[in-house]
Amino acid sequence: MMWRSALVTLALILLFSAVLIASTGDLKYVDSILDLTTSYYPQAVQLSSDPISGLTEPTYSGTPTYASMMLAGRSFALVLDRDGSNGKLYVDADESKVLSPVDWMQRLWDGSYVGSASFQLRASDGNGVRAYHLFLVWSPTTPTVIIYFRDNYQEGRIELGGVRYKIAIIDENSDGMFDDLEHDLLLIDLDRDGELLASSDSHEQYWLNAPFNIDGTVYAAASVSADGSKIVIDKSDAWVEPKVPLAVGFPAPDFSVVDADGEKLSLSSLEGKIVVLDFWASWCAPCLDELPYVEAIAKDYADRGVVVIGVDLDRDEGAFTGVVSYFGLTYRQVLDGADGKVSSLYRVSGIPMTYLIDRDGIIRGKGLRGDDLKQAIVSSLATVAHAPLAQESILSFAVSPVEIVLSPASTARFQLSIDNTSSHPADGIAVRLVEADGFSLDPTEADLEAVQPFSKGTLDLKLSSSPDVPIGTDEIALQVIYTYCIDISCFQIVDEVPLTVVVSKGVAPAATTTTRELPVWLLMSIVGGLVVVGIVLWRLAGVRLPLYVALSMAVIGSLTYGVILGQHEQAQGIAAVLCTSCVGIDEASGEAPSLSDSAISALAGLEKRIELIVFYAPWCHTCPYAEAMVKQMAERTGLLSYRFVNVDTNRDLAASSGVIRSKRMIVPAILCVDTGDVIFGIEDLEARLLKLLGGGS
Amino acid sequence: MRLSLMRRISQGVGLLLGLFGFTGIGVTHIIFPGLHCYACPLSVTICPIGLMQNLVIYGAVPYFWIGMIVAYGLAAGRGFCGWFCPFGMLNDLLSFNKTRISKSLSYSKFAVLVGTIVTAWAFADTMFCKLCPAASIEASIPYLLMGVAHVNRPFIIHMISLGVVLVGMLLIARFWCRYLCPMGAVLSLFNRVSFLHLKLDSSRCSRCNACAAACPMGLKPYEEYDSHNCIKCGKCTTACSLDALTLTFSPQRTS
Repeated sequence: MMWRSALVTLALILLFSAVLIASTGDLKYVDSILDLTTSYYPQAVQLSSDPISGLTEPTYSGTPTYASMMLAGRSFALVLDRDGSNGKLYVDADESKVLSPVDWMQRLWDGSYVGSASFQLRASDGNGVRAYHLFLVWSPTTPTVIIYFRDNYQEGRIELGGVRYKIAIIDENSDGMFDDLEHDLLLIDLDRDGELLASSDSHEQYWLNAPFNIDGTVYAAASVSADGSKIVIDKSDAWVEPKVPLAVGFPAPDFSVVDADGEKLSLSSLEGKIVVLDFWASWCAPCLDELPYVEAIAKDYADRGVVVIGVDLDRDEGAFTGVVSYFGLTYRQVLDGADGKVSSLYRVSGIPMTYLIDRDGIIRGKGLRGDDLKQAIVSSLATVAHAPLAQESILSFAVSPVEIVLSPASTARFQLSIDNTSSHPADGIAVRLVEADGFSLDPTEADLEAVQPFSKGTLDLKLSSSPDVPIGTDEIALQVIYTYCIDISCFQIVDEVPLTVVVSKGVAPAATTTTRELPVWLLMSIVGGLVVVGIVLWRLAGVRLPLYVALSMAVIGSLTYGVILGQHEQAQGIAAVLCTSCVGIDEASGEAPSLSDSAISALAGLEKRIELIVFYAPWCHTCPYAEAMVKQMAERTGLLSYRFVNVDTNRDLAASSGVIRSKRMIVPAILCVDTGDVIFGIEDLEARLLKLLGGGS
Repeated sequence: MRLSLMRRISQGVGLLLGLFGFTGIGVTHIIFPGLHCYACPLSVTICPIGLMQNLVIYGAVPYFWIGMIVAYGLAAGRGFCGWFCPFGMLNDLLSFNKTRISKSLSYSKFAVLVGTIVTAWAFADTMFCKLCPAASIEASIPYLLMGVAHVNRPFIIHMISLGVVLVGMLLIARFWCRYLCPMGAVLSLFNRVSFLHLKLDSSRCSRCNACAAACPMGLKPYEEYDSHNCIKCGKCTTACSLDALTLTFSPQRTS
């Protein structure tokens, strides 16, 4: 009896201490997210003409298309009644099967309609409903897609280490559930300024499954209720460094490195100077575009106490020296690719990225480019914030065989398949082994130059074991580093691919060979060979049947594989974008444009800020001329800002910006954002551009 | 139904597909089985020659293109020139002078095809399109009217090439199809395996030459019924009073 009482007491003590250690926060629903963040991860549902049964439908004025959206594990019907470029959206927001209309609140400058609706999500136990507010977006240019994303978050307070913090959680993947920790965000007001700072490099934003450090103690969310009303945060065994704030107004974190010339360089040694940190890399085209400008700033303001430091993220020193000598860069450079000391300290996820640091070492500007940077330097007061674009992995990996079997002091072959499911090329793919005792990759690093959009790549790798590796199953990992660019932002991604290694005694080398897929080129060669055989049989023996069979195989095989590779989309893309030089509407000019004196004086007379977007395609021969002309004009006046948008990767934006004539995007096209006016081609461009700016006749 | 009427209807369908953009559907994934500019404001299909040049520039193996083109070739070969292609139809409408074809000169369209590929590769640009008379009609002029294009050197070059080809068509029936069309060259490779083909019953043929007089391509169908130049228009079959020539849709057999 005494034992039993002691056990119960012990259990109660343990239970209570667990409750005491873990902190629980009650969170309440907030019906709009715009005061917290304007960035979002869009989700999309495809509309189809297949009706959804059982709906009570209104009388449509056009053609209805249907979609089902999953929220909190339940399906909600969406119906778009489309009449030409007008669309009316209906939703079954409460699973009553009765459709109610969604009023478009706003039409964006790109022509898309934005509405919002409050959905009634049923609890998984069937008891009660909760509201879940969503933004719904429809664009007449992509009429079969509804984009949606969360317009709500849960907010509350939690006590950690004796201090009460304001917190919020965001259902970042807009699936109506908050308990999928790896897809949802935690915001915690660590600097206790009352504001929750949401951005990918914010010191107050974490994935819900990631640990975070407050004053030396590491915490992590232990659980979150599906409806987001309750969060339990516990101390964590993991160790992470605290995130230093990188927001405007905070001190810039100090670093001490050796620069590319072998000289010591630390931020603290530059106190009293205005410092520009420019993060760039040779694989980031927009960064390279910016380099001459940064060089000009370094030169022009050197005598006024401005120090420019380039931080190159390249891992390859050759690429670095190549760029530096090509652009004739004279300002100080840090080759940061190998250890990423500076870029990881500044949590640089998308480049180009700049920091402007004032004489007291305080961050005064972030993400400034072009004239904005210059103006901020001049005033050294600018506080233009820049929200970095979201970055995410675009590759998926598979290892064959799933288990790598080898004996001590032996080598096993395996294959890493890399699948690019995005529309952006992945470049400079480098694979190495995450340090693991007893194992090494042979050679230690493998490279693949690029994996094209919607394509696959493979790497044949060899894993070697040391003689003293213990027998048993090991989980090790490959680290895959690559880069990709979207429009004007480039990202370096580090992915980890787990490897299961089984070390056993006396594995015959034959057992370590891997199964290999028949490569496509071989299949194609076989079909091509069959066609040749068919032709030979026809010409020599007069039999045509084998030729018909071979040609049919060629048709089916080529079409299928072409479609798998997305070549039909590529073909449509080529046809849907018209470069003015391609069919001979304009003449491509190899020469750089030069502005006339009258244009320069007209630009000087500009009175208001104007934003231009230059739509281009990488393969367009007339586009560089248009880009260069806009750039030159922008250099003549501080009031002209511009950006370049690649229509190949940014089709939706281009399509919705009026850069479209008879369903074709025509490049180069220059859009004046304020007026919505567009000009195409480069014929007589200077005069037409001035007219677009309102500065010419 | 009379063959000539069927062919006009089929050509009309080709033209309709070529100009289907008036419905506002935008560009589809379909490669056009003829020479029809994808830059045409009303085009909903992809020009095979324009796409081919782009793929040469990209340097990718064009599986999708090969699949579609072989399928078209297998179905009708150059029958698309005679029955579907809008630019072929223009050639057709201007077919006044059905002179005998120059066999050796007819290989020049292969030179145009090779030249199209080589120049695309060498200049990384769609050089053929800058001269293509179909683009002159379907892109240069419409975009000039839409205010996107301007009268400049490329426009004038287009007009000159169009003018030259038009004069050629007036002087020689199907001038473009006979000697210059790169798409005709591609499809002609399949002429002797295509399902749509001309069949000759030589036991009925009196070698009267009536079919040759009717052939817009300037062939002697009773001798060259499986020529790579045959566009399978079927004019010879109507011209033949002895029914020696027929147009059929079936696998070709070696006679």
